[in-house]
Amino acid sequence: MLGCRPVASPIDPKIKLTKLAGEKVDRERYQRLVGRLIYLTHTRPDISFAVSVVSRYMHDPRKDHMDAVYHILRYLKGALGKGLIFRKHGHFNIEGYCDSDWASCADDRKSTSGYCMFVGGNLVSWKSKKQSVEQGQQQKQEYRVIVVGVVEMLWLRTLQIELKMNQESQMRLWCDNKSAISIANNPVQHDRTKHIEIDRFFIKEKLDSGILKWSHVSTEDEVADCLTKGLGPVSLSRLCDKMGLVDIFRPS
Amino acid sequence: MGVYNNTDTIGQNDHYEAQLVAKGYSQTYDIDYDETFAHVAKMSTVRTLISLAMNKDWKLHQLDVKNAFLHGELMEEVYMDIPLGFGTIQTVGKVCRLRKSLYGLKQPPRAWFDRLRRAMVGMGYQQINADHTMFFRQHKDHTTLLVVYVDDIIITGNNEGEIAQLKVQLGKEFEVKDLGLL
Repeated sequence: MLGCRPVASPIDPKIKLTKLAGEKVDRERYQRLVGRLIYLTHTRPDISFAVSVVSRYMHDPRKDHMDAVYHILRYLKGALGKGLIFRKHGHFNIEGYCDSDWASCADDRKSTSGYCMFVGGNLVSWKSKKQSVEQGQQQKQEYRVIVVGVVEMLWLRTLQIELKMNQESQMRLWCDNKSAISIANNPVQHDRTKHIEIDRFFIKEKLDSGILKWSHVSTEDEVADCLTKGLGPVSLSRLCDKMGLVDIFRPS
Repeated sequence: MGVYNNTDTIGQNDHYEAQLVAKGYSQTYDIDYDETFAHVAKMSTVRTLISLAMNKDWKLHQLDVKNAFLHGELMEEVYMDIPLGFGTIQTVGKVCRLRKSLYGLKQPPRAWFDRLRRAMVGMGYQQINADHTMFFRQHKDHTTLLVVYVDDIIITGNNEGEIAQLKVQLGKEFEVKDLGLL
């Protein structure tokens, strides 16, 4: 691995991993490697998604899965010094980004969702997770992840209030799905949205009370995008900048 | 049930370290221990604290508690064989009762945190509900914050005097190593 060529992204956007991909490989070695990568995700949101993909095959790793792990390692080689930098931004606002990739898993068509939360301009919390049930509609997906995100934001808010550091400010949630936002803001009943009622009312309540504002963001600026799908080098590095991930070894 | 664990320091063989480790695996639930739990701060709490300190220009201090797990008080009645080499004629057929927690037992992480919590509350700190590993005190316009991750502690606040005082008080209570600024 020492002589390998670094790559610019942790996962190849074109590759869709499946369960049966080539012959079996040494399982213990695979599990050890992925285990270490999972540990690394505590400080590296950029590899969160790639690691969550390879960790789905811990029980029966195949050659292609191992290649994906090697790909992550090659990416890390080129980005050893990358880490979250905490800077002074002069405010304590809570901002969150939510995204989900609909039916992205090639094995069971379950979606992947992700969120990331900023407090005072610095990234404090993120998650990339495959949904546990397959669901029929994309809006519903976005709703699930948004509820999870909102819960995390409310928790951060409680923490802030207890610390008396943020009194009245409104939390902002960004999402690149316009229809989900319009349904949340407008409680018109619709056949196709009945199943998301509970999630919707929960969000609506928060929107009405004014502690949460939900706005649309273009896909290019959707930071949570890199937690739900494999991205190319250009968009990845742009999102890394937005997350405050800086390579300390690279002169800027 | 006592074992000696001899390890020499890396490199020079100038001194030996020994640690008494209890055989916690032979403890039985409900008899020797009730609840076990290790208090670990959420990563997002720690990062929120760092973000707060950055935005307010506060300094972050780091502390390390030495032998944290030995500080906890044992609530349960736990007995141990007399360690090898400490037996005399009088001790034949006897065991020792443990008063404080020991490495290897099931209780230490929880007992240690309980001890720390009582110490912090005693100093006028308030435990944060959103994350129990965080403590907070506001005194006049001085704010001091503490987060504990098992035996590692981060302190921040807007008054260096308060922080220094907190360190002294913690030092009286436990043996701490000040790792300076983070």
